[in-house]
Amino acid sequence: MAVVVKRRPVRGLIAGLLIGLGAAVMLVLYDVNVSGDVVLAAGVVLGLVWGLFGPTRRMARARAADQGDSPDA
Amino acid sequence: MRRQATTVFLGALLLGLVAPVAHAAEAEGCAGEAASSTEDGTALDTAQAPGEGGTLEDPLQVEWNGPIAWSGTTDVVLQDGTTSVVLAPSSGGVVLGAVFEAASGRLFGGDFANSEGDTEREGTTTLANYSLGVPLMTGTYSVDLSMTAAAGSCVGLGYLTIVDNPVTSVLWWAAAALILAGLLLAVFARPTARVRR
Repeated sequence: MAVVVKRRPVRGLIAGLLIGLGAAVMLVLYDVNVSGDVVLAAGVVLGLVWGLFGPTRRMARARAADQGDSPDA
Repeated sequence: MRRQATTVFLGALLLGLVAPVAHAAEAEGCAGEAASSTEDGTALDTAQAPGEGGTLEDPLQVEWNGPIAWSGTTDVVLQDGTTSVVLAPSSGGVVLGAVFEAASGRLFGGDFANSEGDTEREGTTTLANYSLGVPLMTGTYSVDLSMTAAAGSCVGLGYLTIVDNPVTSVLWWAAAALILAGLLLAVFARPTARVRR
């Protein structure tokens, strides 16, 4: 029995893109002198890293295995 | 008729925003001035081209619902031409700049006739005229104007700051929705662990 980690880089990238785009627009609206491209790129990179190396969400079976029990039981 | 009036207004208004700073294009083929006020009529800011105001360092301050008195002249009679007006965030970068360029081109650009053959125009309007009164955005933007006709052309570049409360703008809510959607998606973007037997 082995624990397999499934990573989600595409979801992370899209999440980062949305957050970066929203943050870039906010900075424009509040007249903050930061390049929107930098904010957007940072969002994409952080989202990708989040999807690849973010804290692992443990599924029910993994938790059950830790407890020595089966969720199907 | 309304589209012609809109085009002529924008041309004259933006002539008043042509920036005299080194990194702004010089006014070519035209000149003008603009004076903005708050919604209750208090004088806010002025800009002239050539002259002071309307630069990145000293952008023309405007309120979305505040009246803007404008006047402008062209060196020659411009008739039956096209106007291009491009608004872009002064610090938005390439991506946001492209989005704003496409949107503002649809909102403000178009053809003009000037069948009267005028070289001088003046009037008063508000930015709200172009958005059913709802503030679309706040912040500082570059305004790139180009009027082209068979007899000549007019080009200019200036800057304005829309000083309304950002929360009242449509874009603020759109940006907030994007951030919320991104955060929600991020929850489901975390790696998951499964037991393989």
